[in-house]
Amino acid sequence: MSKLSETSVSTIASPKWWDWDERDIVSEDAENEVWQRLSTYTYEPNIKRYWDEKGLVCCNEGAVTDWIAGCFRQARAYFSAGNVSPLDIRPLLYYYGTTTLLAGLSALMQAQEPPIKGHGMKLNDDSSATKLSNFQIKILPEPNGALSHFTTCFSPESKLAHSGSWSLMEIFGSLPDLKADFKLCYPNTPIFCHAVEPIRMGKIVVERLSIEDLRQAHGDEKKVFPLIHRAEELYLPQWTENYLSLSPKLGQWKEVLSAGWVGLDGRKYLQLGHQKNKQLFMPHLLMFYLIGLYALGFLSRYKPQTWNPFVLQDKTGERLVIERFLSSAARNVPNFALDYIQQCRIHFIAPGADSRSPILTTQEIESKIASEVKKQVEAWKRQHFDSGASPIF
Amino acid sequence: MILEHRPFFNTMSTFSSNSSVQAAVFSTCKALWRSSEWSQLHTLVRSLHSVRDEDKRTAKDRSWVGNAAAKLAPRAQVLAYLLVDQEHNNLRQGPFDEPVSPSLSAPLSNEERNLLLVYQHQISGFNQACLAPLIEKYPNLWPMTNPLGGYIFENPSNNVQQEILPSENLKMITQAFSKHIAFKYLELDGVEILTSLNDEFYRSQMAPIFRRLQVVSPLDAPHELNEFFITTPFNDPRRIMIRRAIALLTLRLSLLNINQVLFQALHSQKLAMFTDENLVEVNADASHLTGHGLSLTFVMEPETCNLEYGDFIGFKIPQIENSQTHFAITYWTGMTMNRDIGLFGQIILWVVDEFFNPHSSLLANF
Repeated sequence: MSKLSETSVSTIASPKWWDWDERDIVSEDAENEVWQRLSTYTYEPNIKRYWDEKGLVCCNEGAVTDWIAGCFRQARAYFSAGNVSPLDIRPLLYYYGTTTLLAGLSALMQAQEPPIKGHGMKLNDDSSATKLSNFQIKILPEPNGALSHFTTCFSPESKLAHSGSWSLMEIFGSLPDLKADFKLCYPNTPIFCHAVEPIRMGKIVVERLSIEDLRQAHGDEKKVFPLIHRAEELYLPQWTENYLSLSPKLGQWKEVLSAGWVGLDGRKYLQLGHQKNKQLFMPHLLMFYLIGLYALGFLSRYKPQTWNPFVLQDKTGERLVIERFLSSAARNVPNFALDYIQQCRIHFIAPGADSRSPILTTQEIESKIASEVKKQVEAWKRQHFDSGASPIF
Repeated sequence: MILEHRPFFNTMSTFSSNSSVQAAVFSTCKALWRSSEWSQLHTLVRSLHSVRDEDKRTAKDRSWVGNAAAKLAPRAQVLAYLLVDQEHNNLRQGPFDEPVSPSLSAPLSNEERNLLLVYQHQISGFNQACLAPLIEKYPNLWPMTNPLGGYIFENPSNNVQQEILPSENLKMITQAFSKHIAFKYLELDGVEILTSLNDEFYRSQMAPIFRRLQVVSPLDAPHELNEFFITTPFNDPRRIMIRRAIALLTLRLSLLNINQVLFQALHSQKLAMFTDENLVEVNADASHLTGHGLSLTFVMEPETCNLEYGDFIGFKIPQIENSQTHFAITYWTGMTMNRDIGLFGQIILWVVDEFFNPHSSLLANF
């Protein structure tokens, strides 16, 4: 078994995913583009180059590179098969694709095969569940369970292993790309991601959320602010008649720009935490996709008596949400994997679409100009004084 | 989110030296709050600025006094209430020149008036004690340096022995104030110049500079000063005279601001603070010939929504200064209210130095 060096651990642990830079890539076919880039790691030289760049040492290079390459290839095959498969088996194929991809990714990032045994979660057998979204997934605190391992690798701060049970409803309600269909399908149900609208008035810049939206989802809009990811660190809140207005705290504007998630609709969403066991859990969206795919994969594979009526008749009326969940998983999971490899948040945008590059505030522009002027003056001084020329002042 | 404002008590902890003017002033505030008279004075002062809904348009409504005081004697603090009380029958307002007081009775009861007189008597004595190193030798300088010197008020309580502000604490301030840099500047230039300073000099030389310094934004120095520095040699008699005037003004402003801090301690035990818990933007941070000015945008809260010209505030902005708390005097406030984005305030400030002097660089540049 390979060994992970001390340096490599620190390289992986920092920076946290919310500190990554944003990067836009123009592409007409984002899904294919992501897989093309991931396929780089199906070849040994590229894997070794990645380890060299990160300062990682692998004690069993041949076996581990084969493991990684195999995982990436299989994952792509599972997803490709899932894309053209009927709903009867699609969740299962996507779940296999996701676990295989994440296993390969963790091996790449840690330069060793992951010590995974079992799923690390369990679907509660609830025969009284009237909707698929009522099914609960219990997180098992097994250190070598797949979920625990992936949480440690990709979202360690979330401490997901101690979060207890999650309903599929909570999972769906946490994903920005499902929000519109989720609201339609499950009205007056808590939603854990909310679209924000950036507003600029002179020097004042705020991001605002609709109070009506928050009330519908949570009853009391005042309860929402403490649940927002890093809210206390980044924002100063004000509740106006129609909006929760969030002003970036002094010096936090750059952080605010990269806070939250950008949905496939191009809008920015703020993630809300889930309160469980008196703790607030805010895992990376990748974890939500993993848990959701596990539950749906399990239902389709081991509960055909539940899954078949749903597929054939949509008796619970949730088919749109679940299909949307699956398609967004197929689009987002490989994208998140690429984010982890490149340590930045990659957004594929259509040609001609507006770039989401940060808008600079006046202060930022002034500061950039000042620093450029300083640089030029320093260069000028070096050139004149160091060369022995007499100073003019 | 509950935003906590740092009371004076806590800001004290940022000052290590007990001999500093700031430390002495803040410890006086703390002692004042512990005194039995504080709550009485606090209630009285509050009642001169605000009124309960049920008391509106009744004889109990004295909220007009605060407004009238600010108009009649800006920055005169407690003296302004006494002046309004003295002049209340003569005060007029509006297009029909109507009396400002709804009832023609005096705004203050005898007991209240006496309480304010005791406080004012102490403040006057304190101001004299702080300037003693100067005015004992040159009594002609008292009118120019007395921060409340512009107002005529006959104080009938000259023989009052009672005290509200603890005299021991006031002595501490006085001792610390004796190290004010302006005293050193005044000593340098000899007796002749100081004895030649008189009311005429105040009116012709000091008053225009004083007004100019008060009017020009803290973000910039008056342009005349820039020209003056460039065109007038250091030892030019005019420059020496102006330097004296500036030293006297500095003493006067420092004392005025110390008076203001003590006055604010009557209103509240909390100091409006600007930190990264309410600041949105630092619009300008300007150090120049006369001092240091700041322009800030902030999210409004109860403690910061009623700030006015001359009010004393604290700020702790790591991006600008070190991690310590600094203090400033309000020059201008504005507000942006929009139902779609919320309530934001803008403020322009004079940053004060250790001696509460808002023009900390001015003397050094003269």
